[in-house]
Amino acid sequence: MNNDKKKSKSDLCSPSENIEEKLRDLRSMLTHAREIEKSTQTLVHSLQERSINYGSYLQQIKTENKFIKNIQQLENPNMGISVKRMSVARKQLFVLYIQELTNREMLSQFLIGPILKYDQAAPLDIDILHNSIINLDDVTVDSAKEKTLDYILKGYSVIIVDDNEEEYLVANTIKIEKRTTQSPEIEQTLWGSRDAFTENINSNLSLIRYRIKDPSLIIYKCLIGERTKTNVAVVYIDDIANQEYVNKVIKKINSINTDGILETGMVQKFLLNNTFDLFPQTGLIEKSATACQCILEGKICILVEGSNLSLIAPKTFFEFFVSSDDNYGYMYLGILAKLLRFISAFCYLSLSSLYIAIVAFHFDILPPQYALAMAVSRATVPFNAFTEVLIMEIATEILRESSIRIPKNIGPTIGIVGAIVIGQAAVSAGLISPLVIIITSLSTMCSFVIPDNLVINPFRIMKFMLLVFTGILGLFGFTMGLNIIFINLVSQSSFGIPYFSPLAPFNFSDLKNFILGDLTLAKKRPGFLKTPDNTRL
Amino acid sequence: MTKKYVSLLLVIMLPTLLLTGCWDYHDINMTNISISTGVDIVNGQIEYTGEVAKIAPAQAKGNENGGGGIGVYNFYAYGKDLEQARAAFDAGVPYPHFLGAARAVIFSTSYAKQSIAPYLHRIAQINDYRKTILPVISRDHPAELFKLKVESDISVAFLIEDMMSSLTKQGKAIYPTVGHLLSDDDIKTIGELIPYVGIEEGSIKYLGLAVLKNLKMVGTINLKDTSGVVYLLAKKPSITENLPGIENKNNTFSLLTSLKKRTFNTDYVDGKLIINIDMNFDATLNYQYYTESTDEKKLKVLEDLVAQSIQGKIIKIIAMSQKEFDCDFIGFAKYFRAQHPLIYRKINWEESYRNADFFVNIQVNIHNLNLADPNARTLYFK
Repeated sequence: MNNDKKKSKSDLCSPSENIEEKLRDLRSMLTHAREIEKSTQTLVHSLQERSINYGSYLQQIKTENKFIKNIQQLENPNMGISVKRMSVARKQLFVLYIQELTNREMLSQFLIGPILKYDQAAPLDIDILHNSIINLDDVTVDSAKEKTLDYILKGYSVIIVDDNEEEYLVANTIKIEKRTTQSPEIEQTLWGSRDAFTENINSNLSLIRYRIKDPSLIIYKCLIGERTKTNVAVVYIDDIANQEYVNKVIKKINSINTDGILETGMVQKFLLNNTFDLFPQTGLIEKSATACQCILEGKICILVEGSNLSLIAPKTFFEFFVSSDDNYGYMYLGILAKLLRFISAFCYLSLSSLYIAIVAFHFDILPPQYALAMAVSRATVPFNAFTEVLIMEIATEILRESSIRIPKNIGPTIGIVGAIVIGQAAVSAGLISPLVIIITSLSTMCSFVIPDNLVINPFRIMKFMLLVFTGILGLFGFTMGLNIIFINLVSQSSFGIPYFSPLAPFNFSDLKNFILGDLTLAKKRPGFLKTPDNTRL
Repeated sequence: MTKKYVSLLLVIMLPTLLLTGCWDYHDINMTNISISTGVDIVNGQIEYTGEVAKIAPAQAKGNENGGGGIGVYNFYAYGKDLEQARAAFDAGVPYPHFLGAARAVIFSTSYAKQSIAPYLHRIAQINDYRKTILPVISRDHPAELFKLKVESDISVAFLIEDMMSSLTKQGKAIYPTVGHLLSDDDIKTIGELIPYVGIEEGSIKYLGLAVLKNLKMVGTINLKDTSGVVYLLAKKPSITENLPGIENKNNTFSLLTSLKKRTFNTDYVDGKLIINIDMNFDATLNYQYYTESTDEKKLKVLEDLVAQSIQGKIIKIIAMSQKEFDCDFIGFAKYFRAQHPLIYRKINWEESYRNADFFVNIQVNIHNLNLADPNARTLYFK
């Protein structure tokens, strides 16, 4: 009876009410499903993000292993350490690495793969992993807890067995993005070899070792930079390089106290004797052949990780004027080239200043026709000679500086615009005399004759100094400026070697060898380097 | 270290800034570039004239110089004396003067007869002036010279200077400078010679040499007679001697002589001044008007003839200096003073020179027949 009543009651509800009720239920379910979807998406996104950046999340690993605990305590989520957890032969193993620094193919193929394939009865331990499973050449066992993070940050993979708190394995799986050996960009030569250093210190060392197969070749390595921990290698030949200079260089490098060294130039700054010296006391070498030649001379080559330039010390002024091209062809060609380079250096330094001295102070030193021609060329120029030259020199420096950074595909266009604007238009407008255009162009061309760009920069500064001196005092100021430059040159030293050697102090034999530049005639190494073994042949 | 450098800089710079006069910055195009100066006497006043460079913009077109370049304009100024004339000139020019490019200073005959010493001393004292500037005496008024339109050179001064410079390099003239004149003037006993120019057939010509005694013009030597002076004074005289043919009298030998060695030896014997002139010449046969065969005998005759010709010219000049001008313009006094300083102090040079005996010994060696001799082969290879 009751059942019937109930049935009849339900039967009493209209079909439309049932549908509405079902719709409400469905709507509430849909809303709930959307919320779930949303939260799932957020979770997936966050997990994806983490997996992209860090692989497994280190903090989520539950273990009592002291090595992992140590890293977990230190670890900052942004450090980017990935962890691969494996359970093999009843053992938990962790491989810690940084994805960006690791050759993952090597890691999977020669480290993780062999471990996962382990199916022996014997329980896994460090020795078995080291000696029988991991298929890599550079694997070491270490126990220092504090070094684990350093290893990982350098790009090594650290393998930790969960129940082993005594030792862990370090496998060299470093992968560094590097470019292949390419032609030099700044040390251009016509005939010289073209293998330039790259940013990879090991490649650079291999290039040196490839050329110098001498057992006395010493590579002293050290780490500089509290945070960057940059590898620096000091390369020299033990029985040729003067130990005093080697010790000086190593001492200076070891005394570098800074948070980061990223390039050779930073090391160079620390090696300077005096911050106010104008001329560079170390050479910057891009070509491995040049570096090897310097090492054979008894010099010290400094390679910095992450930089494609090596430092050479000690370096004298005259060595900046030597090019590897001088080794080719006749000796006379080298002599002529050196002479041209010195003339060019003098022209670059002094042409503009001499123009000011003559036009504005001492035009009586000119033969009458030249004096008249010079006056005619300046007839419409509204500026005085000093201002005129200063404007042109600044414009040329702007062009030079901009040409370094102009993208290659628009470089020629900008060059043409510069030449037209600064050259032809300025003359046509009567703002600049044609002679000044000739002088500034010629002197700029002269600056590119010198093989080493490093020595040009002090000349650039001194050129303006000479301009000001000459602008104020005429030829007297010019002479005074030259004197200051020469005083500076002869009073400098590079790691104890007189900077103006072999001219000051004068050494005829070294000077002759420098001028002739012929290896067959130069039987001895330069005397000023004080090499223990000074005989070449 | 820095302190050391600063001190060094100060030590070098301070004396410079305090003691030197290098603050005279002045651009060359902002100066009045004087090319030449003429000095004359007109109506009892000093006429100061000359040429100044007209600096036209290099890219200007259509000016009288044919589109840019160097032209000149003439200036005229008058005054009771040099200073007044100069002041009158200065009053009309836009820029300060630059005299370092001046090529010649031209004196009129009337001014030179009064004495060119004042103007030479002015040149000596003005730093701007080159002491190597060429002094010239003009037969015509300098103002007339400057009015001439010169087609072959930039200006009148350039023409005269280039002409004299070229002739001197060829060994056909002498190039005295203001410095030489002033130096010779210190030895009061000697005279001077300076180029003499004038207008001939509408253009400027080198007419000969003007003779100065105590820097006053006393006469001139015609161009055709100047060879003797050139032989005696030029650094490397090289003059063409024309000689009549040896067999064929209608023929003419043209020989170019060049000095090898010249020595002046002086002596004073029995109150008489003796001057020995020994000169060795090389000669080259330029050509013959009509080719005539030569042999060693004929060559010897030719050599003697050339020597006689040179000797004659030298003797003529010496005679002129002794008799016509009564002035040692060759400067033998310098040699005598150097060789016999004690005697020089005691004697009256002018008097002694007037009565001096000259011995001129000329040696000529014809060493080059210039392949003009058809018998040369048989002559030298027989």
